[in-house]
Amino acid sequence: MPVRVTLDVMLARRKMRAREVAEQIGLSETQLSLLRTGKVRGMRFNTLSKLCLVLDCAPGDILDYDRDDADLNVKDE
Amino acid sequence: MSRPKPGRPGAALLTRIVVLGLGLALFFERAGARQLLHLDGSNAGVMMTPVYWVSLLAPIFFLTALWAASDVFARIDGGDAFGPAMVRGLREIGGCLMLGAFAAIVVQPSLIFLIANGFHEMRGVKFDLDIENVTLALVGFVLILLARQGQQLKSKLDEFV
Repeated sequence: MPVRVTLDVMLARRKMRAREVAEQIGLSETQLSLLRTGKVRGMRFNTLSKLCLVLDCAPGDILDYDRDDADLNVKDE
Repeated sequence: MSRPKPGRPGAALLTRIVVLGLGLALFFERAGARQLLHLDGSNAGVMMTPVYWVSLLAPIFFLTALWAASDVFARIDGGDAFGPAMVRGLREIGGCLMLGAFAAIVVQPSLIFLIANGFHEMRGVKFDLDIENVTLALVGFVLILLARQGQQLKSKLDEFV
């Protein structure tokens, strides 16, 4: 999937530790680590909102998209 | 995230009381029916006849299914989310319903025939294809399939953070 989570970049910019963020948004460190490495199927809107609030950023700052024309043919599982 | 709605309080307890009542009623009703019909010649030894115990086979499975349902109610009452325990409960209900139906359709008629003929004569399998039992078997099967489907959906959902 060409949607990338760029949470690491934002964490570095804000000079915050993953553990601290995980604690504030109510996720486990493992879950946040899976999110950072893109090993999750998706992210809930409320998780995204909390991340944006804690990191003082917009969704586009923690998500990126690499254009891929084949995306239109990807079927939902 | 919305939390699951708790069920009606006391549903589990009520179901368990009903199961106990039904169990006792069944135990004595079957004994009474056999006494009234004088099927075994002796009133005193009704509960000792194999036919009596064989006739309890299917209802016992159905009562076990109800007991498993009370466990599921207890979990819902406790506000448990849909998880492995709930799936196990649904599978248990489905499995017991299917076993009970199988016992009522095939096992009981065959065993009762065998016992009645002193295990001397057996031509094929006897079966009693009641619409109620077939329906219960299908409901049990559907429950097992639904539990499996639910488990798959839950594990997919868990991949979202």
